[in-house]
Amino acid sequence: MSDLPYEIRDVADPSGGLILELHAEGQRIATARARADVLADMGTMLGLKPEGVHALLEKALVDQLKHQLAKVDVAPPEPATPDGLRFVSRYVYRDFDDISTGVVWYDVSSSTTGPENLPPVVRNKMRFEVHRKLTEKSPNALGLVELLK
Amino acid sequence: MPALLTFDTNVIFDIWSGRDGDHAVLLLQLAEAGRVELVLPEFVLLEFRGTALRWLREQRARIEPMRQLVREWERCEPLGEAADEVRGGVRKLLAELDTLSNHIDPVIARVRAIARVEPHTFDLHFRGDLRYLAGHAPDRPVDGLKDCRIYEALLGILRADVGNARPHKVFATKDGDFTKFPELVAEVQALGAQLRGDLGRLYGELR
Repeated sequence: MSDLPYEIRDVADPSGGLILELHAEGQRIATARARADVLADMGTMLGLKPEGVHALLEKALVDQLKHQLAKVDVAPPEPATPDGLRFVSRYVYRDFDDISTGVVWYDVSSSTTGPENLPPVVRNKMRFEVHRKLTEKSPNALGLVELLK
Repeated sequence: MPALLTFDTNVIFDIWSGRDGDHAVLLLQLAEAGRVELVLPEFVLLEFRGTALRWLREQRARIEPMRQLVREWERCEPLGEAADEVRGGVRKLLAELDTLSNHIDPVIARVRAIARVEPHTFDLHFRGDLRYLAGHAPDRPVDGLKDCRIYEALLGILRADVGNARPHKVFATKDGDFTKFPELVAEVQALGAQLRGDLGRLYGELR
């Protein structure tokens, strides 16, 4: 996770507060903010300077990124049969502090994913990865798949 | 000539919503690669838009009671933290519904870029109405007028193609109702085509 490319941008807040945006892979992932009155309260009541609040928001954004990207991770699927219609992969699934890993498969012909006890988000991610692989040379079909990203 | 493929609204709906029928996108890949010719009635694209917007409205309405529950739970200290997480989940769901809403037109645009879209005509519309009046709706027992019009629009594409020799002609649907009735299957077969609901297997056969 430490080499994950991301950027935190300061956005001008006309009301005098702090606004930070977290960007990764060209997309805004999350926004963190502290209003001007909150900054003042933090200074007077907690002795926390704006730089301290800035650091606090930065950390919260990075934590958010870790949480968002780490929920389900499916490795690139590999064909499991000669006809190239059944794929297997491994996954890591994080449900709060409970992390599990295992094998996931997707049979395109029968439109089934498994094993049956897997959380739907893992199966969905597997289907997405396989569809992305099978449409990679067709820009419009790939564009339809990537809308689900 | 390549295989001919046409399909009804629920196929596009599944692709747009990413439901477990979204493997239909692979059939669009075949069309884009020139392996099949995809021909769709304009009516299907129109209906997809309306169905998607109605579905989004229904989901938002279903979320509203959850927000009220969260407000109730948040008043109780022991439930507060968990309720706050639910609030975050609800907010995320609403944001994702907005994203889905923004994807409706891009999906239509991409499907148009791949398919040949046949305009809807008074004749097809009228044929649909007659089918409804005659009690031959393809979605019995619902007996929807809209499905009658869609069905006739799809049959219109197959009728227009009767003179063309192709390795396959397929009317694909995710609507199980359509494939349940032998007379509908026979009607499509009479036009030299197959009515198919197993889109994954179909992809394997056509690619």
